[in-house]
Amino acid sequence: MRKGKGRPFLEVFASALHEDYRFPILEIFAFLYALGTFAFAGFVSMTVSASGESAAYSLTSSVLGMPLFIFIILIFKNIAYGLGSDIEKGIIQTFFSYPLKRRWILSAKLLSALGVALLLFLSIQISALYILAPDMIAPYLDKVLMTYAANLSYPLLLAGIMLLVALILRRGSLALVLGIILYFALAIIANIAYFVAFGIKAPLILQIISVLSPNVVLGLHYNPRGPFMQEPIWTPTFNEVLLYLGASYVIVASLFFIAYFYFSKRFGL
Amino acid sequence: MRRWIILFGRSGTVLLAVGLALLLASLIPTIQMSISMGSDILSQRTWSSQRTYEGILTPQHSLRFSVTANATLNVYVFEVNTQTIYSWINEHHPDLIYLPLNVTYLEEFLEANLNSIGWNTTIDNGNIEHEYIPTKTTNATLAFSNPSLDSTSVEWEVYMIGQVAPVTKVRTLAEGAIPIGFMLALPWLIDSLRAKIRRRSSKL
Repeated sequence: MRKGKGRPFLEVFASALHEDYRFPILEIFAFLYALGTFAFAGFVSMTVSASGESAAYSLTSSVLGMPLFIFIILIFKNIAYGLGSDIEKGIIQTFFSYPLKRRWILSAKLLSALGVALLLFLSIQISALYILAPDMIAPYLDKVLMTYAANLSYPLLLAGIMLLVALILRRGSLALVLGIILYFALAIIANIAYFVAFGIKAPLILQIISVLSPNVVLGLHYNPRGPFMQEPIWTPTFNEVLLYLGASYVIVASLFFIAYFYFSKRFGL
Repeated sequence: MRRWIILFGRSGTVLLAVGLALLLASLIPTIQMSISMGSDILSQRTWSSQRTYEGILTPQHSLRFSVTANATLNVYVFEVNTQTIYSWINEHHPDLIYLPLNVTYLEEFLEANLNSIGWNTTIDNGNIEHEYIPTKTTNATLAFSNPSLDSTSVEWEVYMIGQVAPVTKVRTLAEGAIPIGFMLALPWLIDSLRAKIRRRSSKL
């Protein structure tokens, strides 16, 4: 962004913020994230013998269930009704009249839709976890952040798909429906595949799921017996976890890159 | 200027929402999960953790207890179990035949393992009440030691408390977050209210 482009960028960003987080949306989500962290924190299955790293992973994973679903609702809403409806109603044309490249318009929109939502989600959850169990979180902050990165890859992948659909079909509502269907379909497929993988002892299935949803590989790294407490079929090393995490984010980044490319070069009204 | 008012105002309302969530978490009633009570006489220069409490605590499972003694008594919450203490002492005193209940052995253990003390205090012919909330999942053992040369009579009541969040800590944070959030949000709230009144009067 060259000098002098900052103000229009902020204008678009402020407008997107105003649209995405009308009072009291932000406040309701902040309230739910904070309360959800305490309500869903699970220490019950933990034993003292579990290593500090493993305990930090278990605790972080336990608070990610429902709050992560709430986060997904927020980003789906922002992409479908923020960006999607701007395209549908032609409001995006107003932004094209700004002295700003299209990629910066999309960046401002995504910064509001995803960036602010992520910042709110991570800052509230990690702070609440620290309040709850400082001696479990502080020494393993890197592992906590890695657990979040692994769990957020799948929602971001869906957000990327939704963004592309919203841009190509120019229908926010269609993108939202597709996002919800994909979310549930992939979650069901992943669970069935997990079951099958342990049943027929085929680690390849787990490896394929891990590329899309690296929380599987991270979970197996800390608990190779899996949720069914079966004989381990794949015990990923830490480097393998990093590899799968990296691969999943390459896919997410590619989707967003295609969306940027399409919006900058091909998108016409 | 108006943008800054909105930015601070919305940050304030978010802080207010988080504060209210913390306050609500602190108001959720606790569950009394188990109870143990009893009395004992501790001989001179002995320690004991028998019959009090030994188990696993988490930040959501705290230990609330009251202890009464008629002389000097050290009260400890160890973050290890009694067997760990016995093993350490037996390792360093292999000639011991009986249980190492002499205070000297305990003091040796504590000197070498200071971090195993989760909490401790001394009672001098009186009563204490305390709630021990760990900051991680840990073993916990409530133990008494009589450092004096006379016997001490001790009575205790122990409750294991289940809670959503550490009540005191969360309430203190809520008490800080709510007023700060309100102060930050106030100019924006006034501004929004004025704008609403202006809109209404212009419609009329």
